Formats: sequence, C-alpha cells, structure tokens
Amino acid sequence: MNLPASQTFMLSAGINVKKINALLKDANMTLSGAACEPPDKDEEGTVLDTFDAAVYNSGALLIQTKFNLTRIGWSGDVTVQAAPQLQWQFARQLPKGPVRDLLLDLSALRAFTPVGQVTISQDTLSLLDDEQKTCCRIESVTLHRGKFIWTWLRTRPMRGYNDSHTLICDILKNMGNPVLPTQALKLRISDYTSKPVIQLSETAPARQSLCTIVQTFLQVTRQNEPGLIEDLDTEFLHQWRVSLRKVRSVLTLFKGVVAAETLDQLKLDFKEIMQDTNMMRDRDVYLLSRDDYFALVPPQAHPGLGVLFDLLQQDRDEAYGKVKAMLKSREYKKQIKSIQKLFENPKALPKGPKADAPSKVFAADLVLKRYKKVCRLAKNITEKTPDETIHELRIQCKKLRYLIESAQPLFDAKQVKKLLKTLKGLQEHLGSFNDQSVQQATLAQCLDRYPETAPNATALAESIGALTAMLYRKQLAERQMIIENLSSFYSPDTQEAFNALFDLKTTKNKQAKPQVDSQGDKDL
Amino acid sequence: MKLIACYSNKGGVGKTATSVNLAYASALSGSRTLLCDLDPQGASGFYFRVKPSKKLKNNTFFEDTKKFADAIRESDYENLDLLPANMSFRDFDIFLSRMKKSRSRLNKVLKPVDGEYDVVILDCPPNISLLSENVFKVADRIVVPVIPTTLSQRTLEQLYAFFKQQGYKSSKIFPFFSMVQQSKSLHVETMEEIRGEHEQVMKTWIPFSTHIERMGVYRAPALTYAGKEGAVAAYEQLWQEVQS
Repeated sequence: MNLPASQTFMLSAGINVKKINALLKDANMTLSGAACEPPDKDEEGTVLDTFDAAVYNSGALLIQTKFNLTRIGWSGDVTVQAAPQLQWQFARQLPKGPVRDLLLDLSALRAFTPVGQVTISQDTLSLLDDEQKTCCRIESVTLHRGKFIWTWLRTRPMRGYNDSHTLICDILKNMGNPVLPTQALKLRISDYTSKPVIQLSETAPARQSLCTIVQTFLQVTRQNEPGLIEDLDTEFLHQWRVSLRKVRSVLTLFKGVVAAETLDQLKLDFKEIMQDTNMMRDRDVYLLSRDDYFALVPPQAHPGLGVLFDLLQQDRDEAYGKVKAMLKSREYKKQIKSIQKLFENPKALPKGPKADAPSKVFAADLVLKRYKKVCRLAKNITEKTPDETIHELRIQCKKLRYLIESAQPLFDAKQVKKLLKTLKGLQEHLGSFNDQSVQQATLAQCLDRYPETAPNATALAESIGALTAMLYRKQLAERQMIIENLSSFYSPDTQEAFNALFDLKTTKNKQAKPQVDSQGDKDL
Repeated sequence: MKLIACYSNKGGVGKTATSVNLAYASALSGSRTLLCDLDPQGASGFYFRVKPSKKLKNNTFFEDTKKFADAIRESDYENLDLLPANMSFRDFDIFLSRMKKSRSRLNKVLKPVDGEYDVVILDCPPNISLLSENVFKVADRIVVPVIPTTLSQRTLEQLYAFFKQQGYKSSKIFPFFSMVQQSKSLHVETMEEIRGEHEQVMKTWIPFSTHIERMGVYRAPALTYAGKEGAVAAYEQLWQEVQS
C-alpha cells in the first residue's frame, strides 16, 4: 500500500479554518471541524513534568485535565487515558493505561510536578472533496495559556488520496514555521540534566580542566538541593550524592593536580557533608524495591516483612530530617559555597606537581593505568574469590567509570560510549552483588535492633531469615554473572579498544601494543 | 482473505444496498474489508461518495496490479476500503475474452491485496457473463438477493441451472430474500416455496424499507444512520449468517 507518511505541524496560533478554506477553493475542497473554538472550562489542564523534564525532552507534553491524562508527542501520537481519581506524583501510582506505561518507561522514579496551567481543545478536522467525501483527516490539539496559543496538527492520510494529503500539507507548511510549545506558550521547562555537557580543551593545563569538571558537577549538586529539601522524589538525593561523589573521585583520581593539603581538607569536607545522607539513600533503595522484596519470600513471611519495612521507613524519615536540617543549615551553605569558590579560578587553586600537564595526555594516562589495574584484579576473579576482592573490583570499576566520564569530552565520544557500555554492563552486576551483601548485613542489624519480646518479633525474624536466604542465593547467581561479564571486559578486543583510545604514545607512533592475556602480564 | 460475492442475474433486487451494508457490517466487526464495485454503474462508489476511478480503464483492471491497488480508496469508515467502478467496466467481457484463462483472471487481480484484507465483497453487475463466471469460480460464497416474486424465483432457478451446466459448485450459492413485503401473500407464498426447494436459503431476510431506499439521499450505508431500524439491522444479522 502506498500511503504517505503522516506530517506534523506546530503553530504559534490557532488553525485558521477560514483562511485554509479560501486556499482550498480552487481545488473544490473544504476543511471541516470545530478546532480552535474557545475551549470550555472542563478542558483546563495542568502541564506536568519531572525535574529533569523527562517528558519534554522525549518530545512530548503531559497534560492532566479533569477527565484525561494526555501525552502529546509532537513528532508522534497523542496518547490518552482517564485522569486518575486520586492525587498522584509517580507514574507507578497511576491506574493501568497507555500513558502510565509510557511514563514508567520514561521516568519511573521521578515525581511529576506542575509546570504550568493551560486550556486544551482537541478535534479531528476533515478535508472534504466536492462530494463531501473525507480525503484526509487532521488531528488537532490547541493549547491556550493566557494570550498565548500553540496548535499541534497531525495529518492522517487516507488510502487513495495522496494528492489531497500533499495539498493540505503544502497549505499547513505555509501557515508558519514550526514552533515548540515552550516558545509559543512561554512555558518554563526545566533545563536540568544530571549529565551536563562539559567543554574541555585537550591542551589546557590539567588544573583548568579539573576546575571545569568540578564546577559543573557542583552545579548539579546545588540544583538538587531544593527538591531534596522538599523531598519530592528519591532522585534528588541520589543525584546530589552522585555529583558530589564524582567531584570527590575526580579530585582523587586527578592525582597530583591539586596540592595535597587542599585535597585532604576537601576530602574531609565531603565526608562531613555526605555522612548524614548515607542512611537515607540506603533506606531509599530498600523502600523503592519494596514490592520486589515481598515477591522474593513466601506469603507467610509477608507480615514480618511489613514490620521490617515499617522499621526501614522510620529510619528513612529520621535520616531525611537530619539531611534536611543539614542542607538548610548555614554551615552547609557556607561550606559548599566555599568549595564552589575554590574552583572558580583555576589559577587560585593550590596546585600539585601535575597541575600544568596537558589535559588529554594526562587523562589518557590515568584512564589506561586505571583500566590495567581493573584488569589485574579481574583476571584473578573466580568462583572462589572472597567477597572483599569483588568489592574492591567494584570500587575500581566505579573509579574507572568516573574517570572516563569526566575525561569524556577530550576523546572520541562514540568510542568512549562503546567502552562505557561494556563497563556499565559489568558494573550492574557488581552493584547488585554489593547491594545484596549490604542488604544481608542491614537485615541482621534490623533483627538486632528489634526487641525479642516485642509484638511480631517472631514474624520479623522469620521474614528476615527467608529474605536473607533469598538474597544469598541471588548473590551467588550475581557472582556467576560477574565472571561471565569480566571475560568480555578484559578481552583482547576491549583491551585493544582501550589502548587505541587512551594509549596516546603508541597510537601516535602507530605501533601495536602488547595485549594483556588472562594468564597475567607483569607489564600491567 | 474471504471472498464474498453479492450477485444476481436480475437487476433491481438490492445487490448494491446489500454489498454496501454487508461491507460496513464486516468492517464494524473489525475485519479489514474491501468492497470491490464491479458494476459499471458505480452505485457502491456513489453511496460512499467515492468518485469513479479514472486510471483503472480498459484492461488495466486485469493487467496492471499496481494500478488496481492504487485505485483503492479508503472510505470514511474504519477498516473499510473501496474499489470504485467506472464506465469502462462495462467492457470487461471484451477484455476477458481476449485473455488467456479468461475465467480465472479475477483470482490473479485480487492476489496483490490478499494480505491487506480479511474480507473482500464483490458487488457484481446483473448478468451472466465471463466476469460473472470469474466470480463464480473465485468467490467463497455467493450471496444472492431474491425478491420473493415469480420472476426472481425464475432467475434463481436459471442460476442454479447454469451452475450445474458449467460444473460450478452450487454449494457456494446462498440466496436470501430481499425487499420483502410481508403484507403481500405472493411474497409469503414464494418464500415458502423457494425455501422448500433450496436448503441453503438464509434465515435472515431483508424487509422492504424506505430507510434503505434513502441510502441515495444520505450517501452512506443505511447501518450508519438507521442501524436501529429493524429492516436495516437485518443486514448486520445477515452478515453474521454469511460468515457462519
């Protein structure tokens, strides 16, 4: 079937049916529909999005009215499900439906909060010929925000009427340049991203690059503070912590760039700032997986698990109280601002012996050394390796990841992405292995904290026993997955790729680099 | 793909009204449906407001599969497409007679759209011709509207005789009574007589109805504007029976 593709148009005005009909007159055609009539009160809606504008960045708007929850993908489709009866913040709280599915895929953990109020009117216009036969349909959504208007149109071509489709597309194309709803409606959509683009110069001194990287990550930290204080969703804390950890890691990994005493002080500062958040994040991870835990154990262990989760929730609430107080404190504000200030001017940052090394050469050398360190650890991992060694491998992999991600702007993005993919695959299993280990320890602590004579003590003990057994089993399976993923991580291909990208001296001389084999290599 | 022909060698018995409403009922039930107007008068197309196909002239219908597929038009109703006729369809027999395997050409014509539709309904012109023989050969079922009058009864008998003589499967023939006026004793008696003679006469019958006649005014299947009227709703029932 030779059906033309649907076309989308976005106008910063309503659709002017009268004007279009004047243009269609010669072709003996008319456009019919009620589009752009003033919307009635029931169609007032709220544009919703996450802090990182997940919906908008996916090319869509999410609008909730009294009756509908609508996702308008401006290069795709309009998806609708009935508006939920109850207040909701997270996609998982929505009743089953196509919009819920899309939002779960898009952002399962983030809260959806109001971005702006609009009125919405939807219609399907028909392009009719002189026999009043429909030759093309046009779906329309018009949003009003005060005096601002944005109209989204999508043609639905019909078989056998290609010419009519071309005709109406040509007319709509001339109605104006495509305008995004933020522009047309003056909507303020968050430009936050947890992974901002960092611009680095290959030849700039390492100290300058370090400052750029640290400043960028610290901005991410600061951006997450209001949402964390309000406790909108668990991602605020997570990303606040990740950005600070990245700063800490980069400072340590860029060895010799910052003066030793400055680095020591910064390490202490970060430790102090982050210590209160450890418990909160740990409990968040549990609470987010609540359903998974219940699914892990038999139904008779569920009441005990309920007690456990009440305890975990209490911990979380207490920890949040501390974190909130810390973030709102003058000390924190003073401390974080002074850290930010320290990196504002690279020349003022107390320098170490490597401060003036050219960034690319310096970073490449660090990555390669770290990769080789990981390989050395990796090749000795077997089914009998102690847990501690696997944890060490996890930490080294994490460092390698932060290092590569920080230095990414200096190298070929495509190649780096490919290597990171292999690393991420391995890290996922290492992370799960560690989580299961930590979780078993936390469970044991919970049991110790709960008085033996308290009500439900037996139920709690039983459920913790069942859960620990399941976690141990999962951990064993994860260990196997780590071993499987490791071999690909230090395979000759991956090594070659690392060398090609980061071994600048050899690449420059176009000499083949000896590879690390699984039997070991003293050069590593 | 099921091929249902709506055929009668007598004119004015309600073939097009039946084709149009059966096609609509089929589409409504979720089947991807193509109504193929083989009658040069193009009445099916008229009812759907679809203009006659300009490019499907002379022998292109039988020989140019691309042009055939390009001539198909989406109707205003979901799942329902239409192949409109034009006046050149009146010469089908001339083109067919010049072709090899002239009695099975229709099969070849419909092959390219095989995967696109679940049901194809053929609105046939009222004659016994080479085209009709193509229809007899290729159709899975042939739905024959019969007004319960002497003349209609006679043409039905002629059809059965022709099938027997040419060796076509008369088990494909499914007559049903159309434009029935129960107030007329002739209609009632004739219906009884025909039912007595032919086992495959369908249970559903379509009463004479002004709502059906008004299809020409509304230019839409009667089921879209008078679906609750008994006479019109009978088409939906008829479609159920045709399928069973």
